[in-house]
Amino acid sequence: MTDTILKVRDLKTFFQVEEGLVVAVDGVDFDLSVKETLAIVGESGSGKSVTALSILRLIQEPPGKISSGEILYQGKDLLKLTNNAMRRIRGNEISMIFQEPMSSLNPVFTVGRQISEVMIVHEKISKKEAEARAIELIKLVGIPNPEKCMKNYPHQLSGGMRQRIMIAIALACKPKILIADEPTTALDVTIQSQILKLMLDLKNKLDTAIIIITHDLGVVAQLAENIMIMYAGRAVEFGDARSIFKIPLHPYTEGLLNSIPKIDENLKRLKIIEGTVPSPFDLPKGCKFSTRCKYIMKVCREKEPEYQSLKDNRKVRCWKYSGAEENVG
Amino acid sequence: MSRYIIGRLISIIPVLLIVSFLVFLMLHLIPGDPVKNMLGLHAPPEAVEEMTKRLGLDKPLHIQYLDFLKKAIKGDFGTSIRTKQPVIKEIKDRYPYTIKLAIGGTFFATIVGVILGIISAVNQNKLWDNILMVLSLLSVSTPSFFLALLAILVFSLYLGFFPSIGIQSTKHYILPILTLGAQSVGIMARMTRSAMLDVLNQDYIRTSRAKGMSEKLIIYSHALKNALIPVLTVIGLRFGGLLAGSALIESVFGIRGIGRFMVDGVLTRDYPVVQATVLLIATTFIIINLIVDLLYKIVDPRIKY
Repeated sequence: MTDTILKVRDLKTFFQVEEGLVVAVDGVDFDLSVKETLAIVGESGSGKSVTALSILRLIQEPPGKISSGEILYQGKDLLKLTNNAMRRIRGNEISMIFQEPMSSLNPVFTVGRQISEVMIVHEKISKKEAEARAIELIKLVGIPNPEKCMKNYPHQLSGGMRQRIMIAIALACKPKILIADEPTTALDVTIQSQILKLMLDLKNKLDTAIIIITHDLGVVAQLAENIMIMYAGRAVEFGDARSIFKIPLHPYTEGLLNSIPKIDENLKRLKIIEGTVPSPFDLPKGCKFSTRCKYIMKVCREKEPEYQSLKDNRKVRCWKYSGAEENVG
Repeated sequence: MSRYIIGRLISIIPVLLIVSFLVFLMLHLIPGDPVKNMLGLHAPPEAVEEMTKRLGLDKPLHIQYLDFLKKAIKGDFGTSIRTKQPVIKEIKDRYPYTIKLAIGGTFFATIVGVILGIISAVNQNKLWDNILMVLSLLSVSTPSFFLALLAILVFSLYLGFFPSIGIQSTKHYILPILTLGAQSVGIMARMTRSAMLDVLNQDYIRTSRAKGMSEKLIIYSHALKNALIPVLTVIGLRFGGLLAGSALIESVFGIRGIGRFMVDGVLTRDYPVVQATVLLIATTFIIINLIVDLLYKIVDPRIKY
């Protein structure tokens, strides 16, 4: 891969809760190149958001803790930075937008202030300059009448507008990486596609790499170049979007893709993946997907498969492909 | 906005009518006779009768109440049975002391309480939090008159820092204000702590962190402004508590304030004094809470009038 900007190696994040230890992310590896769009896909509780929060070290400690691994941003390990150095990265070189635009903006400050302060903090520019740039940013994210919008409070804006403001805040300092944690989940479908289109436009304009976290495969198809599928805190499959949609390797990915109803299909009931996600306190011993897998073999119950590289820069964590690269494609 | 304020001010009138009626009723229903209080238990019956007549206390209750209302509208609250001075003059002399004590106590409680509350919240479940919460419990559960006596003992008698009685200079205000506000410090600290903890878990605080804001800026600006909304309510309510609580402090420190005046009035069944002071305290309380309601708008832009 060319020009890797972010390398995550063996990331492990756990939460110490009353009921016991929850390993939310267990040994996740991935690379992100300059200008790449990577989608991290998985269902609730698969560890995708925790992975994102871990990159920016926004895991609340306690109860959470990043226990091991490396997060190399341009060669620097973010996990080894001091809090101050980490703060200079957040919102500046790596920024993040969140799922819930309704509650992610501070209700008692104007939108203008919330956009300009990130530039004042990171670029040490004057308030006036920051406000001028904030107006430009509001224009950039496609909100009409930016001067008026500056003086608005979040409650005066719709959900879609608020998410646009969040994007403006995230892009204010022209970050190298934008992490978007389910940015469209809380929005209705028409607004969703507007926001996705906006993110794509801005990414091309500003040359920002994007990590988009979602459980919505429609979003992935619209946006992503590469996909990492997560299940029970582990990466189970990686590949470019086209090949994954065409030939999913991991049985879980296959199940996910099958569960999308096709437009020409005449179904009485939607297809599902049988069973439920195992409780984090009681994960199966071998492959974590073994309790729901339709291709289950004896070995799956006993030993967890490695996350192995296959040809065409694809990766999978499944016994089906152990030592059998020729099975692919 | 101005319509709202005018509406609120007008709504004071029915409140005062109800308050005055209740106080009037209660005063006349409890046993005790101002005339006997004044003339002594063994006064000749003719003298008692004459005095009762002169004070208008022989008329039926509803007539007495209407008489009181008629005069009160004109600003005449009658003459104190005990001191023989016009009540309004007594109040003018005494009210400033009480209001200064109550405002001073509220400011003291708010500033110290909010700061301690923030320190507690930021160090949640750590040593400082535990120490401060035990202290705040102690502060809430210590009666103010007891604290006042203790303060006089330590700061006036042993250390000689502050005068123990009277209200001639600024220095005289310090002990009364501190002891009056002490109980509220604990309440404010606990309130601020829980409001801060709630706010610090909100999504927008995570956003602030993701923006690379410093922890200081997040706590003292982004979080505090949100946490002040519930705290503000408590400030308004506490002010009323301090206004009423000033009676004890004024008694201990020998201050000629309105609280003590009111209590003396109750004890001697000095009807005009009790009526006037209760109405004044009620009005003050309502106005302070109106101001608090207006302050909400400054803190929280979502509130509309």
